[in-house]
Amino acid sequence: MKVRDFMQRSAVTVEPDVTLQAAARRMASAGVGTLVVTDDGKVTGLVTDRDIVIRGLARAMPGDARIDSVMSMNVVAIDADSDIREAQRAFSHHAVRRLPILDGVSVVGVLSIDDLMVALAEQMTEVTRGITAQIMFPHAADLPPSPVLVNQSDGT
Amino acid sequence: MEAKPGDMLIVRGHRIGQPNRIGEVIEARGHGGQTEPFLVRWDEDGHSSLFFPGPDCVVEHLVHDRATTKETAQ
Repeated sequence: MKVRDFMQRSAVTVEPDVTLQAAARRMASAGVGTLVVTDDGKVTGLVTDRDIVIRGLARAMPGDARIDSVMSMNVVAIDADSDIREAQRAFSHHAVRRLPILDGVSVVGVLSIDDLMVALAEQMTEVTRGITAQIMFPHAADLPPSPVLVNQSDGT
Repeated sequence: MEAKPGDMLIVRGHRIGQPNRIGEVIEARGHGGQTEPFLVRWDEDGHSSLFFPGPDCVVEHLVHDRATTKETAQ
């Protein structure tokens, strides 16, 4: 399965010069915890609600500080047409929790570890449906009595 | 940021003890085949990923160096 099939919703993007408060409001209205920061359509960073709290509020940054002062840079992304296993590898190798999903050069979504877990759990339920029934309702076989061994060589 | 296939990309470590990450640009998927996102193969474990370098990344144009080496060899 491709990354595209696991995409939950489209990406919410902001420009690097929006304020912390505007970014927080954007998160609230869109119901997301991650924003992709794009400059002229190009990905420059990722910012999470936690970044705003830890890197912004905790350091007494004013609400009108620029969002690019708290965003994470050096962003690892994933192509929408990549196999989902490639996303799993990217999560593991780069120790990140979110990957912007790219269609060509434009961001179309964000894949989080949570999305992956939910999707994989659903898949596993499908895979194990048959054996789950067997485990829940084991049926004891109604066997005939054991056959009696007859030794044909002694002629009796 | 501009880089070409064959260039080396260095991502600086930001914490004490965190090593630099080094990779080779396999493909530049941005405009004109020169800009990000870059498909980078990381030296550490040989796996590749799409990468948008931050302003602290350094690009070393190895292709040019290799070409020079080749010329010198001939």
